[in-house]
Amino acid sequence: MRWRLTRTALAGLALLAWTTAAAGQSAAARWPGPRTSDGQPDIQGHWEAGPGANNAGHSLEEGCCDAEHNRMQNRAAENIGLRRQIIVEPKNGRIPFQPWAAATRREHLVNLDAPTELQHIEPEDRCSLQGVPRSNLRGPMQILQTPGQVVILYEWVHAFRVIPVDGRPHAPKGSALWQGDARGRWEGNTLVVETTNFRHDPAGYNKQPWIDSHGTFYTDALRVVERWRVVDAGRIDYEATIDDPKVFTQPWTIAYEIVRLRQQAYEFLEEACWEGVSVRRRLDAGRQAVTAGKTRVHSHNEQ
Amino acid sequence: MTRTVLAAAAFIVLAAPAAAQSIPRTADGRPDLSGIWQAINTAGVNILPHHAEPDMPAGLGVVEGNEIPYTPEAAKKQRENYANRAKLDPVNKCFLPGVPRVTYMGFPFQIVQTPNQITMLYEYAHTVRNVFMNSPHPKGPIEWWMGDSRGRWEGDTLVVDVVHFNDQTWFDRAGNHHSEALHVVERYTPIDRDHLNYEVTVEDPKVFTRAWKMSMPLYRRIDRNMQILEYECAAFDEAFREGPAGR
Repeated sequence: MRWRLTRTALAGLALLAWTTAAAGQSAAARWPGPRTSDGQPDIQGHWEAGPGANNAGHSLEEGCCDAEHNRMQNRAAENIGLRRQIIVEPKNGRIPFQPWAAATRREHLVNLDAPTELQHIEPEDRCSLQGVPRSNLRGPMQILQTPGQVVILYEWVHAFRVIPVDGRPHAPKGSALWQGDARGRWEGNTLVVETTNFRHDPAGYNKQPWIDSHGTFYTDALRVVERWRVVDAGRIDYEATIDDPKVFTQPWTIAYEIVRLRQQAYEFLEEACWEGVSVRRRLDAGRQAVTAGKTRVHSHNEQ
Repeated sequence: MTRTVLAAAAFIVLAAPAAAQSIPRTADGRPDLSGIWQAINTAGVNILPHHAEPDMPAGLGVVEGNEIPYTPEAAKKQRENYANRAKLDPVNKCFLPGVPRVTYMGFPFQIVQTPNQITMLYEYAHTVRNVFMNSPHPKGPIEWWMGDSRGRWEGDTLVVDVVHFNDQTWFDRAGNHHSEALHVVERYTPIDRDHLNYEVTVEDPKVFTRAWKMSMPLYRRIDRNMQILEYECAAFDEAFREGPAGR
């Protein structure tokens, strides 16, 4: 016990020293923490979106959820809405849809609660990969680093991303991916990741992720640039700029903190989501709702 | 005869140190299994010897002794599985494929090796296995599609002990099956820089009368700019439609 206390105290001192050294330095400053064998700042371990952002995957504009939804999901009572604005650009915190795209998004919001066709079911409810940046908002993630790459594992639907940081070129167009094709580089203490070549399904079947449950979609023109700025051993300031000139009027940016998971020696459990899903039952329920005239635009404002 | 034996002996003497030197190693001297690997055989169709069928090539099988020691009831179930395989094969529903099937389905997989955790990323349905090194299995009962994997090094061999399975996965498209009592031990042994020997010991007292083994080489994908892509099986229309895979 004494040994354990001493070790904890020493680790705490080291962390304090490191944090102090890191504070007040610019992002390009020399990395004060441990490094991997190939010289990357070592950020391995388990992380998750910070408390101000961990419900934003449902809606980047409004967070989650209405009171009923909250109760159904056994969420803490205060876990409603956004406790902090996630969209930092544009300043109004709204997604800058082009008019046609806003109309399509509104259709998604009508169909969300009463799906009658496959493409109405929001991709998360089909246990699909979440893409970028949404994957980073869906529960715990584990970062592994080996020479030339950063690997992010997600507990949700056993998703993963392999991010080469060795300067190799992007995969060729045509090999489109749900998670996109990521290439990263370290700029001082910041991991910059550019992801393109996203899967887009123009036929409307949405064989592609959405950026949130609220129907925020994109096309093959999507390009996401993430900046993972490592602040200290327990915090990464995360920023993602989302650009799709076919859907949005301007690039827009989300920003929030990613924090180290508090639980020690965490091991992912198996998230076999698809194995338990019945899409057919969802569609049957949706068709019954439509037949009964019970459709609405999905919203958090009516109780 | 003597000459052959001598030649074989000389080959072993010469080849063994050469192989040991030519495999990549980590800083702590372990074999470095990092990279993208793939089985090139027809075990995914049938782990036993089989003739060809439409879209399914023939194969010599990968099971030691070419026989799976089923109990009589389990052998009957395999025959039923085979007869109804289009409807019953869990992979036709895009479910997680289990171990060892995930290794030889025909898709590449990437090994990400760190000292305490060796993670395997599979292209099929973005399946992931985390092999935790030198740590005990959690207490059961647990029924996971991919089981719980714990690893250790025996010389240059990565030994992975896998338990806590459900009874839903198969070994191949031919309906070879197991129960939740399945215990799999995998051995990944480097042959040279670009080849691993993959040996699997299978035990399941509810289904087999004794332990049995399969083995096969795994090949490094040395293609320029090779990377793991995606086989988002559950998103294919077929996964939702009427019929055997309908959901």
